[in-house]
Amino acid sequence: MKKLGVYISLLFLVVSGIVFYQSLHLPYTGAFGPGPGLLPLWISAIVMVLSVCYLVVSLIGEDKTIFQAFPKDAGWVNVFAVIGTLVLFLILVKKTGFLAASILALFLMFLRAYRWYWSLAFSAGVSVCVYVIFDVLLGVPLPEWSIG
Amino acid sequence: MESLGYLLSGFQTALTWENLLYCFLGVTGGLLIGILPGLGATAGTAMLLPLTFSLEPVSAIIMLAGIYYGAMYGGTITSVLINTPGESASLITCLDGYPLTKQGRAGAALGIAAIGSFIGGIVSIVGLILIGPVLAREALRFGPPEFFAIVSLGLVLLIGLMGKSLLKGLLGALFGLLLAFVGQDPTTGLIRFAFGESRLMSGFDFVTVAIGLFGLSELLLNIEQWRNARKEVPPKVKGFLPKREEWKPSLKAIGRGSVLGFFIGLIPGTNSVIPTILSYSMEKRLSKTPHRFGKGALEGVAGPETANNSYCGGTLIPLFTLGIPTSPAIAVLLGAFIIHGVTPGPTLFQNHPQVVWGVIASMFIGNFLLLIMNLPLAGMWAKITLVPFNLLYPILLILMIVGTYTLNQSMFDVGVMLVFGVLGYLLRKADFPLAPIILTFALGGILEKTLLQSLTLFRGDFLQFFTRPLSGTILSIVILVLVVSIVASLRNKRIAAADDVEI
Repeated sequence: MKKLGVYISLLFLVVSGIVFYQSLHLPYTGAFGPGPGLLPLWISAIVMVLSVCYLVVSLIGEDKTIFQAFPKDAGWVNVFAVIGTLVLFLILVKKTGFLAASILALFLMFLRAYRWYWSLAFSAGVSVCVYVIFDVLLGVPLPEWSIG
Repeated sequence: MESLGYLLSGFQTALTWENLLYCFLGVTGGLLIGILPGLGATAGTAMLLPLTFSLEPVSAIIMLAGIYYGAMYGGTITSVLINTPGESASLITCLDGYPLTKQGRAGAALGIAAIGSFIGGIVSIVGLILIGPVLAREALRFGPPEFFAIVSLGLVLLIGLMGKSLLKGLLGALFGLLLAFVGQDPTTGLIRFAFGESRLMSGFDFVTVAIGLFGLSELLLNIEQWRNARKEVPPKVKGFLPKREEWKPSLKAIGRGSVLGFFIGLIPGTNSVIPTILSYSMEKRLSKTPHRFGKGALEGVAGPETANNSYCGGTLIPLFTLGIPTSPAIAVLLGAFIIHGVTPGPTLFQNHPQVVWGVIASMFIGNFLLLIMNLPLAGMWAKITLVPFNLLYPILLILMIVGTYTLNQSMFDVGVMLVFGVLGYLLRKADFPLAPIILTFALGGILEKTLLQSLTLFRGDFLQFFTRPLSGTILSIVILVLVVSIVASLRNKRIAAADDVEI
């Protein structure tokens, strides 16, 4: 199970399996011809078969391992740190509004390369600029502070 | 003559101060996107699409089209000056462009690239003017079986030409189709695969998926690969014209590149790298002094750069006349058209002439603006690459988030963008091509609708597709391409004619 392809094929298998199962509950034919369940059923079945083929090819063939895809250096750690920051932003934005959530998320990202005062300055500056461009100039209402 | 009249009225639309401004903003934005490595035309156009929501349809599409072909110009600058292609299509330009810079002739390389790009762009626009309306008129006679066949051909060519693994290409393409099934069924209106989530009733938003799958995944990959390496300072640029004896071979290369790029743009499934590679190979073969290639041959810059810009105009023909995108960047343009209430296809020229001719006229203007901006300002543009990546990526991320949010003013879309971004990142790590996913996702609705309409027409008999001359012929080609691809794949003799470099 060290091959990356195994996990990808399992992901495709699960998704197509869910679609296949759901398609069984949709009408296969309609009043005048094929129904909404026809194409999803067939396509998901084919994807399931191809996923199994990919799983087999990945297991027996020369496919990239997880360690080759994610080698031991700071690279992918940065990626997951950024993803975590974005998730934090999504959680906070509904409560704190766009500006506060954006400043915090950007601060955490800039902090990886700059001192805290520069990170704060950049994050506040960028957030305010984006807010002005979108909310004020383009008239797109961004989420606002909802606590209290 | 009729087309000339429409074109003149298109110029009337494009030459308003407002549309000139949007054209300028679009080509400048595209130039910047092309210069910055890692952010391609697809991701850039998708990210900037939300900025156009408050604009009129013609202004929005003028701007977005400007971003698309502007990115082709921008990629050349960094290829020539610092041996770093800003766009995948400019990779080949490094081979002769950078050696010319080392010889102190960066100006000549950039000059001929700009001139060639301009001529290639103009030739392809002329082709669009001549062929587009004719093809659109013919396409009015197409029924659902013909459209189904054409869309199938496009998808199969994409898969058949795609990358190193046919299996991954097929899986990706069919996965994209599964994504397209989420939401309302096109014939009965039944909600499918929404799992009770009201925000999925109309399916996944195309722009959200495109920004996540291409934009965010590419940024995540760059974040992973980013190091604090010293950036190369671009050299000073002077003397923009080739020597007298270089004009003739360069102009011949430009002529050949124009035609090559245009016709390759018509073929679904290709990307902008293919015309550049083919042009370079052709110039090297036709040259009386092929040993100069790789060491600073001006034709090695002129041909490919012309071809990739001419390719842009060619790709617009299937979009305008049939409503079929042939590449991920064009799929984003399709999304832009639909968001602004304009449906590309056979009736586009009839129902929205001011939009389509306005956009075509603006392309003449945009190409001219890019020629002016590239020649004297190339050195300045190249300095943008000195902006530290650790300063740039958080800004790009926040723009992606806000851009996605503006689509429906929903954080749910941002969540979807994040999920697809992570998925795209993981798939790229596993060497999965993303272009089939986004293209089948974009075309899935048309594919299903035309198939179901056709089967209703044929009372469920699929073989009746082959009783109609056009659909029968095209579907036969589809089957042939699929069989040949499978056989070649099993024999391990597939050569990746189109790799997943469209970002």
